[in-house]
Amino acid sequence: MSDRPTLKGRHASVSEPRLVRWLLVAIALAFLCVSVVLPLVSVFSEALRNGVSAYIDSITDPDAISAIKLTLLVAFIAVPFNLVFGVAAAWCVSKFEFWGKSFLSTLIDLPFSVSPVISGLIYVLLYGAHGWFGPWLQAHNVHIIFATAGIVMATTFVTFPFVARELIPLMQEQGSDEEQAALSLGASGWQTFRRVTLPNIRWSLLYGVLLCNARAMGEFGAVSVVSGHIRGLTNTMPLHVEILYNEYNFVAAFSVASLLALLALVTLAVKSFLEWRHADELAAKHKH
Amino acid sequence: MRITVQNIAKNFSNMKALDSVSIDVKSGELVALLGPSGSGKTTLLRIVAGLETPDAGTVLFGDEDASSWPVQKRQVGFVFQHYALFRHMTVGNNIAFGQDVRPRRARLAKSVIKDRVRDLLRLVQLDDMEARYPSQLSGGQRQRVALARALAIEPRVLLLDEPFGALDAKVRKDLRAWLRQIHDETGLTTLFVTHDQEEALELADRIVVMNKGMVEQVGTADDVFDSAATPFVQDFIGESNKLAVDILRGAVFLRGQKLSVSAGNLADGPAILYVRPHHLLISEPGALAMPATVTGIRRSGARYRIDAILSNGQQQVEIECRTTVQVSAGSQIHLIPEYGRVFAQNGLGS
Repeated sequence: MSDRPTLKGRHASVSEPRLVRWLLVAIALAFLCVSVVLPLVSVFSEALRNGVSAYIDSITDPDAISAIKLTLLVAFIAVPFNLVFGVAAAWCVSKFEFWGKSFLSTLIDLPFSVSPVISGLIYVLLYGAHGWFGPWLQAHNVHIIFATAGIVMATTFVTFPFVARELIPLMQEQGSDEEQAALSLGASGWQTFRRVTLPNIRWSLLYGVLLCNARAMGEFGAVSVVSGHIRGLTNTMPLHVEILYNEYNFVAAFSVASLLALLALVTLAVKSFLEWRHADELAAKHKH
Repeated sequence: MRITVQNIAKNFSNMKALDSVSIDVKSGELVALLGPSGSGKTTLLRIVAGLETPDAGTVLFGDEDASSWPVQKRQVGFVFQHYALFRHMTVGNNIAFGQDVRPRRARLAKSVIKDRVRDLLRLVQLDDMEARYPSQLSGGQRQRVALARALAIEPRVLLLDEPFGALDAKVRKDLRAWLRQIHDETGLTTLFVTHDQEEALELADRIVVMNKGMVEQVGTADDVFDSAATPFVQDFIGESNKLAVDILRGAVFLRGQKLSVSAGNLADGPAILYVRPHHLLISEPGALAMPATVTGIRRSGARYRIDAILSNGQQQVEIECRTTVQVSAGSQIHLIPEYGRVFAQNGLGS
């Protein structure tokens, strides 16, 4: 009770008039409704327009199933890969001094600064039929472009920075004192990593993996360039949605899209939970 | 275990961190590495531990050449300046870590490790803190956990990097006495780094004074305080008045006036006389007394500190004396340097 007056006084001196405040909040909410909430609601309402059975039919369609499977497979390969290499890259950059370190650091950020479509085109340029390695790959009967391998590679490239970027600021802040202490106490390099480094970064790592996974499943641009849109073969969920939509098959398109939207909502929920539970540890990271 | 460091050199990107350093720590000795920041003392400690690789030189553990041993094999108890406790482990698990990571056949039984942890917690007077996390402890408590953790691996030597650097004055003093006690109880050869001369003088059997990657002097507290080997040591340890003087046939002259200190076997020529404030005695006028004018008096604890300007050459001096002395600003006094060290001008390292 005693600090009420001071609070009020502070508010009065630094705050805008009530009308302005309400107006600002209203504008923000209206904008959010129009740009986020409404589209989200429309995804689900369009998906269920012809009833639940039509919805189930669209997502159990063989092409849809194969798109879901491919998306899961791509994420299943790309995310663990980025988990391992993200941790390795973050470990290198944050715990060691070496020549070319800032170059490596820039390289890690590259996928964020390059348009995904360009990333896809680079893969086509390198591994496509007329690309640098194209003839050699063809001679050895290896298919990368217009095949699952290319989709996995493009997705891995685009989502590479998520884990590393999440970990680097945290690991830099934590320094390497604890690792050195572990070594001086007789721990091997692997024991040090498993028992000291990993527990210290686990929540940030989970957070990074979560973002990485959401992006891997939702990636459109790079994948679109390398996939070739072969139905039932190289279509991921985002590509499948696009094809269905272009065929005016709205119910099916929105049904598959609703699965992606659901994934986004789950990611958001887990992300909020992590931020709420482990705010201290995550505070070290930069916001994307 | 005896530790011998021979001709160690280390460069950090064109900066000489250590320049052919050799020291010898006897078994069971408590030795301080003392120096200003950037003197290379921490680098030397880390080289002994194996956390840093020297560019040249050898480190001997006993009679064995440990230079190529990795840090794990050296079995040193290293206490880090900022403790470096494992933040996600309890105090008990922190202390048990060194035992837990041993290969199965070298590892003690779980119950034995538990007893060992208890014993160590008792030794560092943290009996009921076993289940706490480092973040729940005060700085002094963390430091004691760090020491217990280092002792848990039964180290051959104990190495401490600025062990009390991050603590407040009162806790420092308590821990200092306590570290001495632990050292005496365990009999471990101990090497610690500090920039706090008081800590080094009070705690160590011997002190290694370092500057710019080189050893300036190795000796007991009495040696380095009263018989400094170089101007740097004289200047760095304790306070000194610096007076420009001349040497003539073994006698010390201040602007033609002969002083009561001896020049030893210094060659004739300009030199610097170092006199500690408490070695400047206020006396009756006389042939050997330097006339001076008092410019200010400050009370410093149980003593007075007097600022004065010497009439011969207008050099400023500071005098420490008992509070029974009757002077005031502007008084004319006469000073006799009771004891001082003279170094040739070219010996001025700093």
